[in-house]
Amino acid sequence: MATVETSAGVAAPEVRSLRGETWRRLRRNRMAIAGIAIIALVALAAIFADLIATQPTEGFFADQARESPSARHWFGTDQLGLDLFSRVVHGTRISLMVGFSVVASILLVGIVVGGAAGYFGGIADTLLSRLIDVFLGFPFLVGTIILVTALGGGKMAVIVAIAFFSWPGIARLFRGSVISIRGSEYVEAARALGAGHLRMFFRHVLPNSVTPTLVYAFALIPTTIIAEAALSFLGFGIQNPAEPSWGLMIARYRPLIQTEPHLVIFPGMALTMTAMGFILLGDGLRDALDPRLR
Amino acid sequence: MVPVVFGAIVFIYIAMYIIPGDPVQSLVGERPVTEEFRRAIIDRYGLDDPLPTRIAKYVGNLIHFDFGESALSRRQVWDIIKETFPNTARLAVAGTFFLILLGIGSGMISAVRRYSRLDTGVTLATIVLVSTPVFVLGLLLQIFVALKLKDVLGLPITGLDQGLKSYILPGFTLASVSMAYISRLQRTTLLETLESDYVRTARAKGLPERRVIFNHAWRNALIPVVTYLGLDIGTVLGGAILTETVFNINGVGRALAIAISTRDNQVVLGISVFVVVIYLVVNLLVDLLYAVLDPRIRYT
Amino acid sequence: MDISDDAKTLTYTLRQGGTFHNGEPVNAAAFVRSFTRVAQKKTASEVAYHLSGIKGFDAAQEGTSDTLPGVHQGKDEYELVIELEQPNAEFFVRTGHLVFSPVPQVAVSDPKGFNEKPIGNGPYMLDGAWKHNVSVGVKKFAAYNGKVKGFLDSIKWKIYAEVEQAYLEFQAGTIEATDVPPEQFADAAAKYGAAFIDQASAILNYLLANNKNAPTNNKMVRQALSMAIDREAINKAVFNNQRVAAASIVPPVSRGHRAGACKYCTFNKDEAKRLLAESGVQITGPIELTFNSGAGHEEWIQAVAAQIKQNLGIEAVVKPGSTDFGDYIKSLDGLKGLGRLGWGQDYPTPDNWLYPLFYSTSPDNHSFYVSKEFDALIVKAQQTLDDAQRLALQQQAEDLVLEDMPVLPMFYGKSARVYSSSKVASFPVDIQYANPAWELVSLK
Repeated sequence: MATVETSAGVAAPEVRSLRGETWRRLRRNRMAIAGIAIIALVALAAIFADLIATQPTEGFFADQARESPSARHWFGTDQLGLDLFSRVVHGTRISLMVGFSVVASILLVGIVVGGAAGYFGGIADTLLSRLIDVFLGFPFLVGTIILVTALGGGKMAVIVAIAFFSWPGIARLFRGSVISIRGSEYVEAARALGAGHLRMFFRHVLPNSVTPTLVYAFALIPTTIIAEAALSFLGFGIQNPAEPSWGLMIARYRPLIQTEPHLVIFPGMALTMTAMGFILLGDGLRDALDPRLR
Repeated sequence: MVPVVFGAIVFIYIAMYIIPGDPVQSLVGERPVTEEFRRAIIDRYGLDDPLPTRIAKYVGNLIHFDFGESALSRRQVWDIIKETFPNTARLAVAGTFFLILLGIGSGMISAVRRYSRLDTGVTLATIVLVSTPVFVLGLLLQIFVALKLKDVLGLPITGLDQGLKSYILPGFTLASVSMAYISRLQRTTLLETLESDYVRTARAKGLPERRVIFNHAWRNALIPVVTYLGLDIGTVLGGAILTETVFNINGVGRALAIAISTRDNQVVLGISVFVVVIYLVVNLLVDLLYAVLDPRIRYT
Repeated sequence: MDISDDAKTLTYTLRQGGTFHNGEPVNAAAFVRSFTRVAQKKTASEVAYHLSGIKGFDAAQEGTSDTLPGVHQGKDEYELVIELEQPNAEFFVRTGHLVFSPVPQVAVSDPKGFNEKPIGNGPYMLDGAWKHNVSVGVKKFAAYNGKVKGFLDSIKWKIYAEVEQAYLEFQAGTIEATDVPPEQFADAAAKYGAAFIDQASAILNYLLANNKNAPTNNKMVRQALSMAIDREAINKAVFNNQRVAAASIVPPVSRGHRAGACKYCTFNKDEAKRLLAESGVQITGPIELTFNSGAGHEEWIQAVAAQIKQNLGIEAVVKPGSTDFGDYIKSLDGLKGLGRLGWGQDYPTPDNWLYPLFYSTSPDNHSFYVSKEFDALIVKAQQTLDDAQRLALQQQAEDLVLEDMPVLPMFYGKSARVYSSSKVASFPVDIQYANPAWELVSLK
């Protein structure tokens, strides 16, 4: 996190040329390309889940329960005779949905709160910064478990709970970026020309300060996906056994790990692969923006 | 620190307010509650007081170091914390040990052998580790290392009660979350310091590379890593919930998870407050350590 | 033990010279102390209801009295008398339950201390401190004067949050005996042969129908739902054949069981459809199926939902319930469909299966089933001293329930244990409670 903050000053002055440069560096990073490939694969699986994984993910098929991997069932079947491959493929939707929903909502909240604190300064800044401190003082998983339980579990509760304890990091980072840009000469100049707050913020401050925040937010996607799985694994997140959440699947298949290890290994691998794709690309983006770290 | 702890208490009380279900029913389990019993419990725990009153009472008791009692086991919450926290602390120390050993070690190798196959290999390995959720790693280690390789390695499957070797698998599992970050950070900072003026001076004096790295560069390169370790205590506590659950360790994380699912609200509250305080204290200690490592920083 | 002719007074002759582990005598006073403590309101015992029926119990529960006059010493300190409000020919069976154990004085003077350091009067006494959630141990009580003094010098139980963890430790050789997770029964049987003991237990898993809310307030709908479920198929797929499909309320290991007592418990798709049509009930919304989450019921409830959909052509939706059992039970009040529950026997009599689950005012009757006829049969049975006649009345009551189907019997429980055959010589398991009989376990 500290490293991203330092890059704020670097990213500010020349936006367009920096983007071109960033993309060029990213393309040269083999790990980032691998990340993009994995994400593309996962995204395609999510979009075309109904075409790729045609076998039912719900129901009960007594005559094909607990089968080992085969040509018909690539990942085998579970206690209900459900095709594990289909369930794992459909699980991509839950992971991506949770990952993107959380990141989109925390970006919105984090930018509004952090932006307001950084842009206006003064009492607003003091109050909002204290609020951010309170949230950051709460260990993440502890807070999310309590909140997700309070909200009654399920997909929406998971999204809200994770977002609730993730936005402060974004807000703090964006606040820092805004403060560093606020005092710059061209912002002063725009102000002297009589630009209003909203126009100032959206035309000048936001575009010049948001990049590190976006990179940081991107890095939260894998964290979020793993957090959803962890909450569901512990029995607090997604609880409806019909939903193919990877974390819930691992929890449900855990008693069979000795005799049918593939039931745990495949959802576990899906989780690891997906998280890895986002981590590789996230690292690549960060390195491309701040090549000193390579 | 006080506002953060107070914020935590308010948050948990609000969360408990909106939690679905009937707190009195939760106490007695499956049997129906008689009106007399309901009244007695409500009065005993002040359940129908308005929220601010309840919070004020709780904070008042807390000042006298009274964390309340578990509604389920009727044990003092403080006793539960006293009994479980040492285990979590030991687990955290073991986790940090692995983090330092493997994270910093691999980061140094990566930096010294920059752009080599070894560098790429280390980076990939740590990324795979960080992408593997703690609970998946723990479950797999339990079966495929502890049980299947029992005769070779002799590592315990659960618990922390078999001496130092009990800490190997849970410690490694806990460390896996942050290992990639530490390794990357160590690599980056070491590379930066290796290119700094004073290291160049040291080299120019003709010191052997080994001495340059260990005596001059490393100490400075440690600063961001130590800072990160401190900031990471939240991740460690989260990881502890999962690690303790998988390895059947009687720590605060598992106690908290159990208390939440059984609606044992006083325990949830007590452990959370305690954990928040620990979190803040560790961050404070990290700040102090930072000053020790970096003489430029002085607290006045 | 002696029961008076009016079935209202029980007289127990206690063994002389017995002591608690702290040396206090086990006499009538110790029992009076224990029963009074359980019945008192301030104790707020969850299991006090087992004492209901003893004279003065209601007043003690309400807090209007601090004593329990129905329990007192007889002619000397080794004679205990229990007096009942109403005749109950089977009350003596209840007294085998743990809540009827005697307690030493410390249980009353320092309940918290007693809770931390229980003092009993059996062949084994607490050994060292109880490490909560980690381990607890017992050692032989030298002064025990009962018949079976136990073969092991000490026993240590390690506490695991999940049975899977205990079974892993057993395989690694760190513990000598454990329960086996249901999913591993077949594997454990193959691996451990004679050292694997699986046994039917006195447990019935059933689906509770909400008898108040539509559409399960109609008896024929309930019968149809029950017949639409293929219990054998679920048992084979989900449980790997490690349970037994239920066809009665009173399970096989309990006294008074009759095989096939339930005629609506056999799978028959066509008959199920016919019953549903004949009921005349138009099913508009989906049938809700709920269960307490995180306790291993996820899979079979999904299977039941799928079968109801498939075999009756109506919608069925799985609604995961709370992980907290108290919350879960409460949620059943508003249910529109079926909810998972189980019942384990407290004492070996059909009455313990029928009265709690179906008597109209019983606190454990969560289905809202009310039948005057059933209530009358149960009361009459309780007053009948003759064993054969009493059993006949109880079976009549069971038949009535199995016609009305307020609940759908699903599976009888099975439990399994393994022990280390290289170290343990004998490992008998008690049939009624499916727990190891520790005083009979011996080493090689």
